[in-house]
Amino acid sequence: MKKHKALMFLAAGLVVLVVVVASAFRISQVNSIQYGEAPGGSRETEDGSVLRHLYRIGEQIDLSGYEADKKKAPQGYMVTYDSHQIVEADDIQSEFPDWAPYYSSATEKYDPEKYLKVRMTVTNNSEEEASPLWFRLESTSWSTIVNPQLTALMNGASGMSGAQKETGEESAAHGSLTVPPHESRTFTVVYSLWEPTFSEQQWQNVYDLPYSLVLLDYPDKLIVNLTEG
Amino acid sequence: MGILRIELGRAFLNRWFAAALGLASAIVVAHVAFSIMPAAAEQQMYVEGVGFPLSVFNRWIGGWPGTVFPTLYFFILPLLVCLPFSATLYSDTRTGYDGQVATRVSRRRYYYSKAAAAFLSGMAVAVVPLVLDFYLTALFLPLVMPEPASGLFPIFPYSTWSDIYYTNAFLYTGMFLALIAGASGLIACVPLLFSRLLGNGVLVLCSSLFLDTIANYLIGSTDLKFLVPSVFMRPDQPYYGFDGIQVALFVCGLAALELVALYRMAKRHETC
Repeated sequence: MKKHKALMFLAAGLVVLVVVVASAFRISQVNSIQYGEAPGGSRETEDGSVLRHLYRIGEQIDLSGYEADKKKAPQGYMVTYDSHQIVEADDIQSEFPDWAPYYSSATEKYDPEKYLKVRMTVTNNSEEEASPLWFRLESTSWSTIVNPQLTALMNGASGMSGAQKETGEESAAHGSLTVPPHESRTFTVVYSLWEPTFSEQQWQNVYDLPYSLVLLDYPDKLIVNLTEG
Repeated sequence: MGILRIELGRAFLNRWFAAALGLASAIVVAHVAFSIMPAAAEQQMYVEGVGFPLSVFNRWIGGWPGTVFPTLYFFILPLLVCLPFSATLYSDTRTGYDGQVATRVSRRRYYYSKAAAAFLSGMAVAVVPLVLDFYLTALFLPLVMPEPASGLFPIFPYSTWSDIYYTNAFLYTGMFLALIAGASGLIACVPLLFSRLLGNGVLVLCSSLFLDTIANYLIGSTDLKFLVPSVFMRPDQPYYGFDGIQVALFVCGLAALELVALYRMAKRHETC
C-alpha cells in the first residue's frame, strides 16, 4: 500500500515536472516570436517587450524603413523635433479667427481644450515625395494622436479627409503636407489635451507633465523626450 | 487549532469546493478556447495594423472587457466563492452539529474557525482560476508590457492604478489579485451572517450574489460603485475608475462588520 502511494506521488511529480518544463518552453517560444521585419535588419526581443530608442529635442532621428499607421518612411527620411509649447484655444483663435474648437459643444462641463504644439522638421533624402509619419503624444498612462485639423490649419493645408483623420494621415488630394525629394520642411504639429482623457491629478498638472512623442513599430519604440533637457 | 483544522478540512475537501473550482475553470477554458486562441491567430494583423502586438496583459480574463467571459466570471463570482463552505453554518445548525461542537469548544471559536475556513476557500475559488487563465493565456500570447500609445489596452489615465499598470503590469495584476482574494474571502463569509436569520438554505447560499446584484443594479454605475464587489474587483475596469482608498475602507469595513456580527451571534447563542 505504501509502495503504491509512493509510486502515485512519483507519477504526479513527473507529470508536474513535464507540465512545468513544457510550459516554460512554450512561454519562452511565444515571447521570442519575431513579428514582421524591423528596419535595419530583423530584430527579436528576448522577453517580448519593446526595444526603446530614446532621443532628445533637436536630435535627428533616422526613420528610414519605419512604419506607422500603415505608412512606410522611405530611405533617407529624417525627422527632428524642437521644444514644445502648450497653448489655450483662445491663442489659436486669435491666430486663426475662423477656427472654432471641434468639441466645443461637448466640452462645456469640462475646462476648454489645451493644445500642445511642437515643431517637426522632416528631411527627405529619398527620390520620392514623403508624407510625414505622425508620432503620438504620451505621458505615463495618457496618450493621444495628432490633431489632424489643427495640424493642417497650422501648416496651410486645407484639411485632412474622412477616414484619414482617424490616423492623422493627410489626404494627398488636399496635399501640402508632404516633403518633396531632397528637401527639408518644417511643420507645426498639434496635439489636443482634453480634460476627460486625463486623470484629475494629471489635468491639474497638465503644463508640467513629462510629455514624450512616440512612434511604435513593434518591436521598436522611438521616444522623443519633450520635457527633459 | 483543532476546530480550525477540522473546519478547513471540511471547506477544502468537499465536492462543492471541487464543483466551484471546476465551474470557474470551465469558464477559463472557454475563454482561452474562444477568445485567446483566435486572438493569437490574428497577432500579425495587430502588429502590421497597429504597430503593436496583443499581450497577455490585454487579453487574459482580467485584462480585456470585450468578451462575455470576464462579465460572466465576475457576475457569478459571489456565488462561486460561497459554494464550498458558506452555507455550512446554516446546515450545521439544522442538523445539530453546531450543538455537538459547542460542547467541546466555545461558539466564538467555532464561528471564527468557520469564517476563516470560508474566507480561505472563497479566496482559493476566486484566485486559482484567474491564475490559471493568466498562465494559459501566456501559452499563446507574449508578456509584452502595456503601451498607452498603442491604444490596445483598456486602462485609461482615470482608471484605478493606471500609472502602475503602464510602469509595472505584473505589480498591477498582483495588486488586483490581492484585492480579489481579500474581497472574495469576505464575500464568502457573508452567508454566515444570514445563517440564523433566513430559513432557507438556498437563500443563505445565494445571499452574497443577491446583495451584489442588487447593489450593482442600484449603484453600479454611480460614484458609489466602490461598494459593489463585482464592479471593483474587475482588473479590466470596464467602468470609470474608483478611488483605491474608498475600496480599501469598504473592504476593511466589511471585515469589521463580519467580525462584530459573528462575535455577537456567538455571544447570543452561547447563552441559549
